[in-house]
Amino acid sequence: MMEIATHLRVIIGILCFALVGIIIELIRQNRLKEHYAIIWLLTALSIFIFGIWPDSLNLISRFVRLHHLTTLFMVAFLFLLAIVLHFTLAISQLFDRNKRLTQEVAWLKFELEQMKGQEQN
Amino acid sequence: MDQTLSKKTLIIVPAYNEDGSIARVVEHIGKNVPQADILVVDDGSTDRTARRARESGAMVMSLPYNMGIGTAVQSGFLFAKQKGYHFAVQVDGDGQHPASEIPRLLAALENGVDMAIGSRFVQSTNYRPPFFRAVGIKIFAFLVSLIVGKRVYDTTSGFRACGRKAIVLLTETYPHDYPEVEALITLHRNGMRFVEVPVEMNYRQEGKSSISAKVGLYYMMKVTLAVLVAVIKRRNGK
Repeated sequence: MMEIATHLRVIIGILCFALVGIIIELIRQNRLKEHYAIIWLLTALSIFIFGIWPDSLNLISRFVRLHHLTTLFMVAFLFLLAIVLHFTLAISQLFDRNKRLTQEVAWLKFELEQMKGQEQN
Repeated sequence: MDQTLSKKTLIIVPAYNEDGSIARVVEHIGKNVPQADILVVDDGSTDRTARRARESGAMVMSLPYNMGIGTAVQSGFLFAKQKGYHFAVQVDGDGQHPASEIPRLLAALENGVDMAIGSRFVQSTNYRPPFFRAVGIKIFAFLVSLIVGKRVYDTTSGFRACGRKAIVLLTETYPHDYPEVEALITLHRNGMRFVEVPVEMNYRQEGKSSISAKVGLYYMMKVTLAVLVAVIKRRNGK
């Protein structure tokens, strides 16, 4: 069994609730897309799981044969890596769409000016 | 040649803050290829590029903000596709591509070739690039030659003429920055052919090269990666 001091558990608990609260508030204010909120809610959930059930970390540690602190860093690092990759994918997609949009806008503006020119003549 | 005259040709001139040279470029094109339509794609210029181009008689399409030369040229391809042009020629707005050579590029397309590149290195021309650029140019030429399976000399020239098939293909895939090298691989992978036509270019009347020393390394890495990726990329529509 792995023991975590009570005050640490309280801090982790508060952290999780704060994170969930902030996410829900951001969604409510329309500043965060639900699509991305899922990632952050999962983050809060995993912190929560490690908080109330520290042995889950030990299980993973035993599986990968590492010290539990190293495991913690590894899990956190992989998680952040996944998030960053996800964001880069999202940005790439946005870039492509933005590109098409600028081209469509330029095209429509051109057509509009042509039509205006024809009306005047 | 006569057949070329009866077909619709669009000259695409990508321009970003080129109000010093754009009017002269448009006039030169008009004089040398009077049968062609000229489209200046203003890539979000903050100066009077669009107005100068319009005054000199070109059609002007303005992107809402600066998107890079690839996006600008691709906008031109989209225009050519929509309006049913048979040929599209890219001529840079800074005046380094000689309009007098456009008919030779177009003539090269007559033999069922999909793209004709105005090349500085097929025959020895007067162009002597600075050392590092020369190295880069050699590396790309080597890479592309290897992939395409025939000797390609000038892979970075932006002075190009495209036939209808290539126009349609490049409206679908065209990199937003430094597109020249990658586009060759895209063409090759889609079973299209390109040839090089030796031309003598003018060296920079106005403005600076889009490739400064600072971005040189990025340019090298980006294009090399893009070329390697283009080889393993899925083909269009497959």
